[in-house]
Amino acid sequence: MAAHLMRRAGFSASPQELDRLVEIGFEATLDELLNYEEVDDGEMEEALAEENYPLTRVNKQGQLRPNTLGMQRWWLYRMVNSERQLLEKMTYFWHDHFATSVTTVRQVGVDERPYVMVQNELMREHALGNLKDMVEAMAKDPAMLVWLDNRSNVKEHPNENWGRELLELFTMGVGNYTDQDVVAAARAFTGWGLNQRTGEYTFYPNRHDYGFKNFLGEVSVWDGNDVIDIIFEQDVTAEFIARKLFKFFVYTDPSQQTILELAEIFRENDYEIRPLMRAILEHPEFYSESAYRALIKSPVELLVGIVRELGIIDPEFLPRLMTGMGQELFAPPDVSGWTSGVGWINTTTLLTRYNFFNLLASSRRDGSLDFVEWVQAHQLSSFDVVGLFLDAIVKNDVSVDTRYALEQYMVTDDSGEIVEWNINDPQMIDKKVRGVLYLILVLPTYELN
Amino acid sequence: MDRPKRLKNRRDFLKDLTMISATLSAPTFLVRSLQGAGVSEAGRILVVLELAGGCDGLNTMVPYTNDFYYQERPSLAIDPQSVLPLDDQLGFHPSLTGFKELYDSGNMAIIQGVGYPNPNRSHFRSRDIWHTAEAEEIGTNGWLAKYFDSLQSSGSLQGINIGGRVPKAMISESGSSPSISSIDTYRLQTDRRYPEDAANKNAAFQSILSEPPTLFPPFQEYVTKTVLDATFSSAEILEGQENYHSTIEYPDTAFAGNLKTIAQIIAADIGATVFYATISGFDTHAGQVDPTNPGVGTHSDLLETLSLAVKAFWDDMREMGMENDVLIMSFSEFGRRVSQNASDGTDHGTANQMFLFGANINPGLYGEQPSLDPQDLDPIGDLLHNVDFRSVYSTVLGNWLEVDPVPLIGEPWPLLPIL
Repeated sequence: MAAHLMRRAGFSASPQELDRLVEIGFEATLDELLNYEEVDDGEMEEALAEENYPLTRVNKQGQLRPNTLGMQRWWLYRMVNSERQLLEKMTYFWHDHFATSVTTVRQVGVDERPYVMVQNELMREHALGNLKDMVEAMAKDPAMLVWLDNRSNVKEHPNENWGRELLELFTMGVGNYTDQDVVAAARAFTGWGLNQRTGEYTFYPNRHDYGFKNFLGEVSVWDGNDVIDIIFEQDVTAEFIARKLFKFFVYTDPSQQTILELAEIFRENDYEIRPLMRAILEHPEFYSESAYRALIKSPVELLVGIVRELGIIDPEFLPRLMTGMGQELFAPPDVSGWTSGVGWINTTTLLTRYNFFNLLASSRRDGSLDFVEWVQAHQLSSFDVVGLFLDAIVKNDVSVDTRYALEQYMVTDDSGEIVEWNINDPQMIDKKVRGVLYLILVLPTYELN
Repeated sequence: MDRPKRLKNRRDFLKDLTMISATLSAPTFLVRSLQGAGVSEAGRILVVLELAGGCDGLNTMVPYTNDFYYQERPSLAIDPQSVLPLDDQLGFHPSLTGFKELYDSGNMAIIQGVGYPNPNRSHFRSRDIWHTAEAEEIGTNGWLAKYFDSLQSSGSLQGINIGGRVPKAMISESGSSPSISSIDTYRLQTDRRYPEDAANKNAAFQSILSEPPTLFPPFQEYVTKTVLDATFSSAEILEGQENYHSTIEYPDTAFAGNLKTIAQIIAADIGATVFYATISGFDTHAGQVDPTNPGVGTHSDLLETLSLAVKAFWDDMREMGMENDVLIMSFSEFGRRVSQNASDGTDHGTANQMFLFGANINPGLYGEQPSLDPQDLDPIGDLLHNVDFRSVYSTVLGNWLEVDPVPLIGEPWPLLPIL
């Protein structure tokens, strides 16, 4: 149960960490996750500062631009090492929700921080805070003002990009408003611009449309703040966000009843995210069979998970590996974010995952584990090796037949004959331990979260 | 490449697959997957191109003699002197030189005013509508996936997506089509130090995969099936990739590379009949054109990429002797607003063009250019459609892939006399 919780509410955990969580118990574990302020993360912050990842670079024209690789490493370092696992997981959720891409938003602020980094910090600040506050902050976030063009939304010819996605993707969901409401929202946000010199949100009164607007059936001289107020008076807003969180953290086809109950909790708490997340992580459905291994791992969950579970790859390699698997942090494909779930798995991304597993299992880089020494030091039988790997990697979530097939493989020689496991045969150990590690990593179960 | 060889490969392939599936005593889902490969009943190939983001149709096929067009788009309208005219009303955007050549050689049909009732201006909803061919309610099965599922030898190797995410059009409850980015990397690697152990690993792998994947619904089965599709399709491509000998130079763009990959897979002859590729970036709310010259800029660059890639692919098909067997169809989830916004861009609109390319088509213009007169626009200021996109799908299914479109697309949509 601890492993399941940490795969969902965090980026998985090492066996030692899981032992500790079992020791302190469920309630204390939830408190650690939710009340992250009380968990000291100073050691990680210090170590991260020492890594000194470059967040910007100078391009050929001499302009300061975001250093996407550096930013990715910076964030992945947090995901791997932070003691505040739910905070990083929620930040990732919001990054996918308010999906903004560095491929378009190339600006760097006067403080030399890329706009998208400022946005990332903003999301972390609000990740378990208040949703309405976060939406208000996003409406004025420089990266968002560039990404959805609101900086050029002016009364003469409103630009609908932000107004539309605010309603469709960020708060209410398609089907709960009309195209006329989109036009009204766009008009209300006219003049919400970006000061080119300071790189800060600025309201430009002469670009704002002060006329009457009919937004969701209410008519007045609404501005952007009013539009957000009205959005948060709609019941569907709490339902839309509760459903998206439930589908991300629990399983993909919740009942309407479950969502209505969670939405109620969300509204009762004035859109505070923390009580809603507590309700989700305490929900009986979270611990039901319907939830267990019922999601597909995103590349970041797969890879950060491997590092945290086994500690056998250098996190420096993660960005490149993720790209091959179809995910680049800070560069979601469009404003709707990544197509999660089955969208992560197609034949190409699957081959990339499997070829990475092969690399992992066959790696002989300096510092990689010497399997011969390991087996001989602990006097491990072939059954021991299979058992240890199945436990560490897939938490024994395999059938008896699979376990048997793996055990058979361990003692099948090159000509296909069954032989004795020989602890004094280094080549046999190296070949078979690496082989079975690969076979366990490629189990379809390991793709499931 | 000659046709008989193609058919011989097909039979051999099916025979091999039957043998493999027999030795595995595979469960039904596995057999389905393996038997997926098969030529379409008509032996023809369809290439679907998605222009993602909502391509601005009015700046693609320019109504260069229409006063409303120039009134509503003061900084966006294309100079009438620079368009590549089709007739006295309509001209290609100056970047579409490749399309113009294909049009002039009689290999292109343009369907104008395509859309559906109650147009949805959400990218994601409208995309779903085009992908499922269901405009009224949210469908779950893609229209191409429904076509694959309906075939005698149905299965996921019928269609192949090129590039990243598999489009919803190729996903149904029975699975999703393979996706291939580059044939050079599309293969399963094994530990190079112990090649002699590969057979043992493979045996264990196959034995594990032949277990019913029912432990962890709903996705264990999906993952398992994708593993099988990936291993078989990659082995087939590895075997057939030597068949591709082209002298055609494709432009150095990712999209052209994707069309080249399609040509390579067609040459490798793995049995796929429908290919899908996407070119993104058409959501031009801002900076659609260069402020100093509406003939260049973001949208112009995209059109150039599209048109040159299609032209190169077409030349490649001709060199391969495949031009009579290939039909290309393009669409976008919607067109864009007639009136431009203040960001030198356009917001989400409605009716748009579709393009068809092929040697066996009746070339020319179909449908009507919707009126740009403000009195004739819908309340938001968008064009009214006069051809339903399901008519085009039905035409392609009925007259090119030669299946009954009604069970797949619904009520008999009027067919267009293109094919």
